[in-house]
Amino acid sequence: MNYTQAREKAVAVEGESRITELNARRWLFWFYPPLFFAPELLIAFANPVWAMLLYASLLFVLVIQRAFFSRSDVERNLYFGLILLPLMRITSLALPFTQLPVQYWHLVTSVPLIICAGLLLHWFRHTHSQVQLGLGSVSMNLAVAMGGVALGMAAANVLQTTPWANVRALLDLDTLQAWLPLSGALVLTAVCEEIIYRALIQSQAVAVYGGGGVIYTALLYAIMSVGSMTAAGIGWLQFGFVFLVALLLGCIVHWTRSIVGVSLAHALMNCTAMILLPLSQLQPDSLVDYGLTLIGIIGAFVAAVPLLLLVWHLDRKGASHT
Amino acid sequence: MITTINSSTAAANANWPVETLAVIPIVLFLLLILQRGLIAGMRGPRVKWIEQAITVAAVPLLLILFTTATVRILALVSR
Repeated sequence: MNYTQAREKAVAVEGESRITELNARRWLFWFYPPLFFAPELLIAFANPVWAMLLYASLLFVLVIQRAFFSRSDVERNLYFGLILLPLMRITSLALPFTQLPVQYWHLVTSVPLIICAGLLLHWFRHTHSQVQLGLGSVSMNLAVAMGGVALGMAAANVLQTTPWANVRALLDLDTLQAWLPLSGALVLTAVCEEIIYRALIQSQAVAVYGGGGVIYTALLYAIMSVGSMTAAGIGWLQFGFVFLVALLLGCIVHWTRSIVGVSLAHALMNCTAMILLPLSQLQPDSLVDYGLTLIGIIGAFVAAVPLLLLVWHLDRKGASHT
Repeated sequence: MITTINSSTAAANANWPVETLAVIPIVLFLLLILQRGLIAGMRGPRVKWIEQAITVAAVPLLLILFTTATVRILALVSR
């Protein structure tokens, strides 16, 4: 049941006053982005324990709000999706990373979150929610994925990404020990994030706000990335960049009705920014360096052209319906 | 661009491993109390909604505890 249907049902059952109540409650969700922003700043600049307690409180608030203050399935599902964000941060703060090799960090963090997301997807199916997990068009997904290299290069330059793995240290290790787990973890992290943000949160936010749901989800994503920007200070340019990339990925999911393409693009973006680019920079002006730039440029074109055609087609379809 | 672990959380995690870990059992305990307290005398779909939300919150927390215990035991054994 989407928000409009829930509202119509409420009007039929309880009258006009209920509409006002539903409309008022709809805006409650906009209080959460600033509420997530505060603990992110605490982690970066103050005491992470306070941030963790704040996230734990938010978790309780979301559980209670979902149980007692939501009147439709989409509202309940959106609260459910938001529960994953405090959990994500509590998980990444509580796991003992210092005792694990760096290439396993992402893997260990993603597994509990993916299990949780799987539970949510299972329950969402029972409420007949629109979750964009379909395969979609294979060619479109591959085209979208090609854009990941260009996005990764842009991300590394704008965000001044420090590679997670110390590239020089990892180069000394055997490939199977170092690069395969790290690459696998980066791919798994990308898939995990796309399931959480785009499949779970965005699908419900779109049901509540329409197109505004894509902006809402992109804002949440940018806020949860704030910690990555603090190394060079939180700049509006970096925040804006993350927001725009999240918005682009969200729009692609909204248009193509599938998270497969953006998951691949996100995985390629992570691998480019954190493995391929630092590796190519070890040998500047080499064939690897030029090759990556070339792949990035070609990939951007390959992704942009079918997307523009899809938007044009959707626009024409919308115009012919009206 | 990764939000699950960013540079701040990794740095904070390295500095505060024991304190942050102590939050997990407290949160789990409070979730259990919340579940018992809220469901007592309650009927209808709301019971299911509360149980679902608490399950979703508790599963990763239990997994963290399990992973931490495993990592610590492995560290002890390898010594």
